[in-house]
Amino acid sequence: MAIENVIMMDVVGKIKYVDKFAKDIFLFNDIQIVDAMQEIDSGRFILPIREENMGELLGFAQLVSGETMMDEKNFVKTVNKLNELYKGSLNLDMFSLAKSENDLGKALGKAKEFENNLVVEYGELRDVKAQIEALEKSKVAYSYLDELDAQMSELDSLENFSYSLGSVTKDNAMRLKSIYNSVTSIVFHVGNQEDNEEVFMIVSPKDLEIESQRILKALNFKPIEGFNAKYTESPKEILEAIDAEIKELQTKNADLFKKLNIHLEENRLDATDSFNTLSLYANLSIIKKYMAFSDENFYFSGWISKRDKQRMEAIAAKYPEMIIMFSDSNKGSGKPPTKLKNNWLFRPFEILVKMYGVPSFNELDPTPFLSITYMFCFGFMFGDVGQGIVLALAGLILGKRGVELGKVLFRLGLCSTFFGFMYGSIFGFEEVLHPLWLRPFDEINTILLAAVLIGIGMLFMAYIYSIINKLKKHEIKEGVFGKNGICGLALYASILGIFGLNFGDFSYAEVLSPLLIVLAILLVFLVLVREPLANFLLKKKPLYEETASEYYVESGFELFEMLLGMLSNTLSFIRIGAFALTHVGLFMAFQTLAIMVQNGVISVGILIFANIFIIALEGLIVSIQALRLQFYELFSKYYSGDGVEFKSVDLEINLN
Amino acid sequence: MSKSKYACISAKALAMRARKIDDEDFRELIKAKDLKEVFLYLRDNTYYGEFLKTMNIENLHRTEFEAHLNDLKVQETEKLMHYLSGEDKTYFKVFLVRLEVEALRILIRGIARNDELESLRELIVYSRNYSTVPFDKLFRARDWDEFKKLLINTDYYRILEIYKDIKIDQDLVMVEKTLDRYYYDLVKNRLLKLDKKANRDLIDAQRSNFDLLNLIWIYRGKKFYKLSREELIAYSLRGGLKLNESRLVTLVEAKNFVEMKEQIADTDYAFLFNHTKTIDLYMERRQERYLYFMYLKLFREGNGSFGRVVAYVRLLDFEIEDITSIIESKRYRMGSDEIKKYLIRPID
Repeated sequence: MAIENVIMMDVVGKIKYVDKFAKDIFLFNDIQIVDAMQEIDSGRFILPIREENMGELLGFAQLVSGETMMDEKNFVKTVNKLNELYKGSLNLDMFSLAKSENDLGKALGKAKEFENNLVVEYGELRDVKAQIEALEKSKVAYSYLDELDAQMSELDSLENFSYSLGSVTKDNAMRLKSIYNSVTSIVFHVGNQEDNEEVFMIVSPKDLEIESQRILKALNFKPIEGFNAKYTESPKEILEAIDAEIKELQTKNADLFKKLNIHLEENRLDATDSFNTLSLYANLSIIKKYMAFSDENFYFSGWISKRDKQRMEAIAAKYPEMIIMFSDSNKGSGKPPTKLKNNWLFRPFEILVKMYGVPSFNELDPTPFLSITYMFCFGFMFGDVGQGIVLALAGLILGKRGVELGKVLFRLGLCSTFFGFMYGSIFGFEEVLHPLWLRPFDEINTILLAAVLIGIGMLFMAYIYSIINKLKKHEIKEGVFGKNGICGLALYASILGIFGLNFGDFSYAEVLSPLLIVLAILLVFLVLVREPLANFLLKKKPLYEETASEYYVESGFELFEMLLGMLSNTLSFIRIGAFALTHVGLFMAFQTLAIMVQNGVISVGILIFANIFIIALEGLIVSIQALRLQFYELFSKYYSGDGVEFKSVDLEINLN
Repeated sequence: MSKSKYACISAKALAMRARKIDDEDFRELIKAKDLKEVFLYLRDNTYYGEFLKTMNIENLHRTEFEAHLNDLKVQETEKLMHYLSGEDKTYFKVFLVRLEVEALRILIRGIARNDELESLRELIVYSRNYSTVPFDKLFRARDWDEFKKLLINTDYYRILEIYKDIKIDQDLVMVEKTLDRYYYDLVKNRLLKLDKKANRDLIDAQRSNFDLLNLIWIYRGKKFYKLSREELIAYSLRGGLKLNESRLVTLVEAKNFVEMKEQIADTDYAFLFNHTKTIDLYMERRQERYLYFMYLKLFREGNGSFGRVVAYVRLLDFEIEDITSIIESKRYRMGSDEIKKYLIRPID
């Protein structure tokens, strides 16, 4: 089946093997780890009471959750550091991890040594960078004075005056301007900063400096840094000198950088090794967080596929005194996760199913049904050889790049191509190919009727799925008598029968149709009383969960909704015929335009545009409409989607 | 065009206003015996209840109680913001900035007093959706330098970085003044970007607000802080309606209070100083009551306008302030008539 059976695996082992076992789990990968502490607390982790299990059983009393003991942060930190140095070019090599024995101590030591070697080079680099930054600051500072024709040393050595440069916001500059005439300093506006603040030079008498500073502070005056008494020439000369110095430092910086890179390349092998080992241990620490520990033993729980049971047993056999137990999902060991298993054709469609919800472990996987009908509907609505191939190619490229929906698109494109041959349409032109079935526009009624018939077929399948799902969950009330159960299906069939008999030309119609009407009325009645009926048959009391009157009011409305729903659900499928027509019609409109312009080049342009337009816009609409049919018309009947997805061990720790 | 643009949000504001507490509620609150009764009344009879129900009635802290009232303001401001876009929305955000500034003021005072900032957490109200200030980290700041560094990605860093220390009382007052000035400059700059024709009344109202704030500042700066004229100008606000730059300068230069009073005799603001004994005590309340009526008018007449929405938030401010006054009055065991004197909203 498309939903794989999962079983719960509980393991107890000696602490000395915990790292090796965790590594096995990590490499095994296809397992969903569960917090062992929680399993034990909820009483689901049960050891058989036997003499040889005594130690393990006693261990329950002194359990500590791994969450409190393990800390992967140190490993992650070192791993990140390595990753940063090599700019993310180190990769986790699962293959070498699997076969080698990894020694944590050695790897940590190596990483440390590695780091120490780099400290010197890094330090120098940092120094140079800091120097450049300081120079850039000075450059900005002096550039505000570049038109000043005086030596800075003269300014610095004024006897009775001091100067300062700083910036204020635009609003505060306005305030400063309105007190220009009364402040105790001389204020020059010398420029604007990049962040839109205005820069002023303030020259004030040293006697009144305190007062000036108070006013400047009130205006949130921010002094500009970078002035230095060592620069004594005129600002112009200073700027030239600074530029030269920066240039020199930049070459030095580049040299140091080159050296560092050479060093890194020389040590790549060692670094990769440390990176691998440390990443592994970080992952193991995370796995161990989910375990519980007693003085001697570790306790581990996780979901695995049923078919992996033997492989896990083989792993456990390697370790002496390891106890491994499996329990079935039915035995109430929590809600099992759902592991989907579909063949290559259907697998990409799982993403569409998950958009709605993951199937519950005890319901049918709707993926195969959805895949087939979704492809069919899309092709039916969007049948064109050329446009289909374009979509398929686009899907193929996207799929190769790792976009899961691309694979869906590829399949849809192929179906579109198939229907293109059926309709005899290529890039919208109907003159080239001979249709294998019909041309939609020539036989509108056939297309619409076919659409409804296809819809009826799909609805029947949905009823069957619904009945199976509900009976699997032992819901007699809804499964047998419900509107989406056996009664609902029979009612739908008989109503269709009544319609069919009255519109078609059948013998026995006079006899059959009253019979069907009676049957339909009977079925409607059954659906109405489904709750008391089911409870009566199952000998459950009370018959009604709420008061009888409330139940019948509610149930009566539901009945009304059901009958309406049957009609609307069926007619809803007309859209697949309608869109098949739109598809042709849209192109015809463009074709008419192309003929009207009477200009070869523009005509071709219009037709090319038409195809792009149709592929992009109509393709989108059609795929949404097809999905809507699935989710609204079909899923609502039979699918609950309240399962939990099976998540295997994450391969890599978060590198950030 | 502009009418229909704000029709929806203006109707929303009208509906929200209808649910606000009325004079009758205020009378009940004034009558309440103590803090606990005020709390129970608000929790059980008003829409503040939602924000108060998590509080422990046995252990009521006045200031925490007040902070929770402002949660409502955050929620409603954010709610109204969904209906706005462009410059209107940007302007509207100033109400959230106001809370941010208030929160920072509380924390900075805490730092100056060497308080454990974590203990102030309950007093801090801000918009989690819009604030870029990392409040959660600020609570853990150990000293002034660390505090400033945490704000490096916000506008506040530029304001605070020039203060090397925050220990001196004088510094603290000036930092608070500077934060206020930042806020009102922001309001002014965003106000200038609104559509002038459509928002005439709103803009005028806000600009009168600037005038009033300036008058109070100059009056107090002269009387209590004894500041120099340059400093008075430096902290004054721009964008006033009646008091432009030159009038501000002459006000600052007035030799005494009488001269100041004469200068504004021809404006609407004369009422601020037209009293003999109680100027200082009620000055703020008088100012706010003036604004209260102005915004009430803006609200009533601003059918289908953005002004109504802004007025709504301002009126909510005044309401919260009044409740806060009532809460405070319970501590001093004031009588009903005494309490009413301190309320912005006139209750008889």
